[in-house]
Amino acid sequence: MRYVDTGEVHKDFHLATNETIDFVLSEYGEDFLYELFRRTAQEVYRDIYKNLKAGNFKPLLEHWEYYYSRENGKYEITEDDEKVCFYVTDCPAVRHLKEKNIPVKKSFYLQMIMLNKAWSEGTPFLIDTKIISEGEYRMTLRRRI
Amino acid sequence: MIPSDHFVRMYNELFKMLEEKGHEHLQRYWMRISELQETILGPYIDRDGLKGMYDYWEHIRIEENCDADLKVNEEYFEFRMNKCPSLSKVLDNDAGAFELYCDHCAGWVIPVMERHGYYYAGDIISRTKPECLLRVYKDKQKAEEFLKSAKLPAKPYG
Repeated sequence: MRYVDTGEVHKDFHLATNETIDFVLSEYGEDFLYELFRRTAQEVYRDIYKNLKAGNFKPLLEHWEYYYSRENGKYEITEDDEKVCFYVTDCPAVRHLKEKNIPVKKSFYLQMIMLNKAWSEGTPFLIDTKIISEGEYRMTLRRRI
Repeated sequence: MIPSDHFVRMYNELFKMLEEKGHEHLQRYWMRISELQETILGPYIDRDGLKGMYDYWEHIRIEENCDADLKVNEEYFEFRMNKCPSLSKVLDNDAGAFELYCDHCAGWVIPVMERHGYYYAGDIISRTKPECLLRVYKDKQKAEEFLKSAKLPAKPYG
């Protein structure tokens, strides 16, 4: 992995992400927010994106597994010939907001939706993000037909 | 999900985008983050003043894996960053660092301190080496005096 973190985790950064999404959406709108996540997905995570463009989704899967585990998230991975499904049953970011008594707005999930959309752009993959309930969502990666 | 460990790299991208729109946009964002930080740091200051700041940043030192030394006395609170994890991550970043990245720190700390009647004095030292020095004084003159000796005084609002 291009970025690997160890040691303690400062989970209050999820509060800052929440505040940031709220600020950007209300001040600059959805396109500006998408550009932020596009730059993050394609430029900050350049290695993941480069691999996706080359048809390799393993670095993205490894990234998800590592960071959801590091923050004690709960998830299941299923893989078959057609798709890979990363099913989050307890999102650590959502859990942290709830522990801090911060209401989880629908817009908080835009970070998952927009990152995945940006990771799909110009690659052989489609990543569909389906929000199921609070802290529960499914990210399904398929090859484009 | 943006992992907690990677928030600062996204933050760095937003700084670039806001600066492209005009510096006042970036300043407005720092003010917004400051309002959030007020809800977290504010109660420590209300409870224990300078010692409360020490307690808050000691918790940050641990959680953010900072190499830092903290000090508190009757005059000021000091946080000496020997290796800042935030700037280190932004420098180790395929998207590249925003030139004024370090300013965000004073950008949110100053308004919190002003609300509580304290005076911020920060020395960025270098924008490319992850070390800096933050002091918060009770006395305005002493804060201004400290800033005279700073290599790169933090003045995010001019």
